[in-house]
Amino acid sequence: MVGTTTSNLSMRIGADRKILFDGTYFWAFYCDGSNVVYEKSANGTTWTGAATTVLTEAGSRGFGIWEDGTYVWVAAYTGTDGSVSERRITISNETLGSVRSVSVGTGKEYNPQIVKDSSGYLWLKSEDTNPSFYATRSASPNDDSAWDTTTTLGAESGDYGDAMLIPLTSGKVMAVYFSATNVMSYRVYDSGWSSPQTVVDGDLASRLSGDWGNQHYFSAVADSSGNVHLIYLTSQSPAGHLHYTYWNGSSWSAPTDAYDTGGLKYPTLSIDMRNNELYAFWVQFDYDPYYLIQYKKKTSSGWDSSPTYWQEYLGSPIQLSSSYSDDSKIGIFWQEGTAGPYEVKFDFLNLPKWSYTTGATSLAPPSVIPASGIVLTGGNNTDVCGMSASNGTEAWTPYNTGGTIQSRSPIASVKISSVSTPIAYSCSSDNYLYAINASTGSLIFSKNLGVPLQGSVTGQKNLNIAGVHATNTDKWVIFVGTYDNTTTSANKIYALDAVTGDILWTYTGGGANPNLDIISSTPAIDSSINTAYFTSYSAGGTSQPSLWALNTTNGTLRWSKNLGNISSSPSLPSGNVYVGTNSGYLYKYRSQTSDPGSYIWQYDASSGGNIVGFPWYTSGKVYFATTTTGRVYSVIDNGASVSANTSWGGGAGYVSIASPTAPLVVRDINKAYVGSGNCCLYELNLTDGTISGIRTIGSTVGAPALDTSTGYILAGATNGKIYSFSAPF
Amino acid sequence: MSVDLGRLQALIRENRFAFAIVIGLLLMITLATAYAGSAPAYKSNSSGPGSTGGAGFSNGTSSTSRSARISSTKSAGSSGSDARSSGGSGAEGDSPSAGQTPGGSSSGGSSDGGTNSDAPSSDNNDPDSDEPSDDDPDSGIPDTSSKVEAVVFTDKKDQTTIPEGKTVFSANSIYSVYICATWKNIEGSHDEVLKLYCPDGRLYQTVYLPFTTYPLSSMTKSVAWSPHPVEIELVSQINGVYPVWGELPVAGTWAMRLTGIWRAEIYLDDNPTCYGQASFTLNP
Repeated sequence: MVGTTTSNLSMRIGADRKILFDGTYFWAFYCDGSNVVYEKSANGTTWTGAATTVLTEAGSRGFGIWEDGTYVWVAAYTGTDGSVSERRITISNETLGSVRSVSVGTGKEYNPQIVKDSSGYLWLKSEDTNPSFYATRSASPNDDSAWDTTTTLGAESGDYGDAMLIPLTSGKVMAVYFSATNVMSYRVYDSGWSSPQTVVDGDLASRLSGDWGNQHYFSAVADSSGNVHLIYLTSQSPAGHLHYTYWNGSSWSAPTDAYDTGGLKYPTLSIDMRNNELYAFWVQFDYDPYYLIQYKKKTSSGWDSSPTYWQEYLGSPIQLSSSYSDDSKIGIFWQEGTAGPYEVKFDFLNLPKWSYTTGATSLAPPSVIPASGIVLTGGNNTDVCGMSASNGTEAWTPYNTGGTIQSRSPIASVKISSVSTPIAYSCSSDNYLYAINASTGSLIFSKNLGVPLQGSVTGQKNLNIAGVHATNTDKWVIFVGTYDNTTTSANKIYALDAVTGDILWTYTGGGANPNLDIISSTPAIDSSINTAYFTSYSAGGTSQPSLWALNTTNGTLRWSKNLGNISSSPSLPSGNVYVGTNSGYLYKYRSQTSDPGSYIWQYDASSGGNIVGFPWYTSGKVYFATTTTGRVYSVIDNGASVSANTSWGGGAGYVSIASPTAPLVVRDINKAYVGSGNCCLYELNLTDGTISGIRTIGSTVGAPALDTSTGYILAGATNGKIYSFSAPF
Repeated sequence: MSVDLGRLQALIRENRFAFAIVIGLLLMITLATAYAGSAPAYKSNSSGPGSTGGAGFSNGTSSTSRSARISSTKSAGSSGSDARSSGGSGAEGDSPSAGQTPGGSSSGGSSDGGTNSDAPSSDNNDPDSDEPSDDDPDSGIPDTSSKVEAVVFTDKKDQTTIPEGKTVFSANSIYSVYICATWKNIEGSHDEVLKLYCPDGRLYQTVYLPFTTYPLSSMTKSVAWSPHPVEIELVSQINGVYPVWGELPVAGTWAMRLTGIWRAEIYLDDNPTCYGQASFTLNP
């Protein structure tokens, strides 16, 4: 909550902006009953507490704000003296400018809105109670000391009305307003106002007489090309459907459904100016006495098919406003309560910092070159892609492999003839392992291993075994298993020189060795005892092993276990091996060179089914996910035993999330991040598993990764995009 | 028989006339054997440069493993008329009917809206027969429309037969879903383009499947979508159709998470027309 107010119209008219984000702070403006005030917050949760008064507002008759990066311009109704009060605030130091009295004419002071056009002129819209709509412009750009005479934009007969100014490109401004009971018109200022023309005729909601200040019926934004996007409530039964139309510079499109259901109120439209994606918000009655705030996003492929339920269990919110996106944030501002003091509340959407389009499903966790500013990923479009970690722009031309890349492409700083080189290793279904310079995208080597590769590689440094090339200064050796699904018994594990790709040793299933089924996982290396742990399928749970410990120096088998099919990767914290099976059992073994015998403990998560990704151990707890029944588990590793974490998931020990990825644990902020099959990236509190944030992507989300240099969470999706979000949500 | 002659014609175009003559003689012998009912179902999936034509050619006329499901075929007319048809690799210029392939893997070839009727003939359902079908309004007219008669899903790949197919799979129980598209009236060397859409409707993967209906001097080629030369699959005719196999690996892949209804779309070369599509369900 931002604060309280005695005004029941504290953010009148909500279709205009009342909030902003300056890159560091959110600003929220509202009428406290007698003044226009603002408060600030760095996180959207904790607010100033003491509101700063900007202007007097008499009788809750409306105010407007506009932010241009340097100033916030504020205009407010101050009475029927024929003028509107206006004042600017310097964003950097919060200096308040002089209060200006802008003459608009007696009786024309209501519902002021202030905007600034692309040429720097300030525009002030106001209304009277007939209602007619008026506009006046500042005499000079960026100067509120003098204003031109007022122009009448139009009038609506027989009812109260709404009107809105929308700055376009090239100094143009559009006015959109109700011109009759069921007609919306527009005019464009381009060195003079154009004659009124119709936006919509006959499709508008019947507004309630006397309720015009409480509600608004449309909201509009201009995109970076100067096109105008408009949402409005319709008369379609039941009333309150949301329609959408846009102006392409010369005409309006035929209206379409933005949300084909009735009962919506207070529509407000925001835009992400980086990509012109629209965000429509509205209030909807849920069940007595509760209301909802929902939203939909519109991309180039259309509106979301269903709305996101964003705020629930609200007590009769009667105003709603949103901001344009600033620094990937869109704020929402609403008033709640049926009697004073009313509560003024705020929340914000954390939009992706950036997204990068690959072309086909990309669910592997991205990789980051430490402190280099480059994110790298592979996907089903067969490319290895490099992009800027700060803004997602393409860092180098994608390197095309001949097959899908479904595992992380890990990056190692490898010295080639003593020159440190960031090498990304990408395993492709075209049978090749690719080593790519992660800074430039150039190929260092490709190695044909004869059969597809599904899992990723892991490396061991300073492993000076026979065959390691002289130019491999740090003696990096990489390990990978094969995915030949034409056999359940003859897959292989390779050790290769990390600089040349030369094969150093091969472990072959079959013959004198146990049979080796497909490997779809990434090995874990215990370099302290020169042991590599692999997991594999086990030919459907026959006598074949599925957990393998190999000597990294020569590829001989140290020990193996038949745990049934395993598609997830082992993890190796604290001298122990954790591994989850496709049947839903989590095992802990001692990492050692000789056969450890039985497991230390086993946890039965078979009701969740297939364990995916890898188990994540931290501070005595292990976090993992199952996909047969979508769950994210937390168990307590007591050393020699295991128990369910009853503090997690409301006592269940798991949190239900549709088709989850393995959790990404970020201890510094006490969060875990999980991609899901229901188009969301979830943020969980690490302590109890409660969901602390959701980012809706619109398609199935892949395994997240952390860019430690920026703190961003990275994740791909089935829509082929890689997203970056700031964290915590 | 028409397919075999198409192959012969293509070989002629490759200036391998002498070789084609030999192949033609072999065909005649093989056909005679086939009509005598002695030709076995034959597997010929060798795709390397070393795979020679003999084995592959012979099963083009095999009829012993014919599936009733695909027995409704365009059988007549193409015999002896390939000199006027698109000629082996000339399918790019054809105009197949979009969406001809029925959903799932059930009866194929029954929805042909083009001039080349696939209406089953009760009297003559032998795709290898040169006898015109009474039901075929185009009898005696060369069939120049390449098309996908069916898109069939299975978890077992057997290139010696056209699979009966399934439409429901368990992600935890299989290694792969194989997608078998059965092509009719196609000759020469092509790329089948298989587009797989995951349950949320997004493009999961585009799979390029180079194939040829006759041996080439080189069974590999350079392509834009791979840094390495790729192999060209030599496909053999079974029951009047050429099966081209694609694969969706499931075990240990992203597909294991993506349970629900998947869709496969079949394209050919650079042609934007969808030749066939079908769906299957992947359960957890």
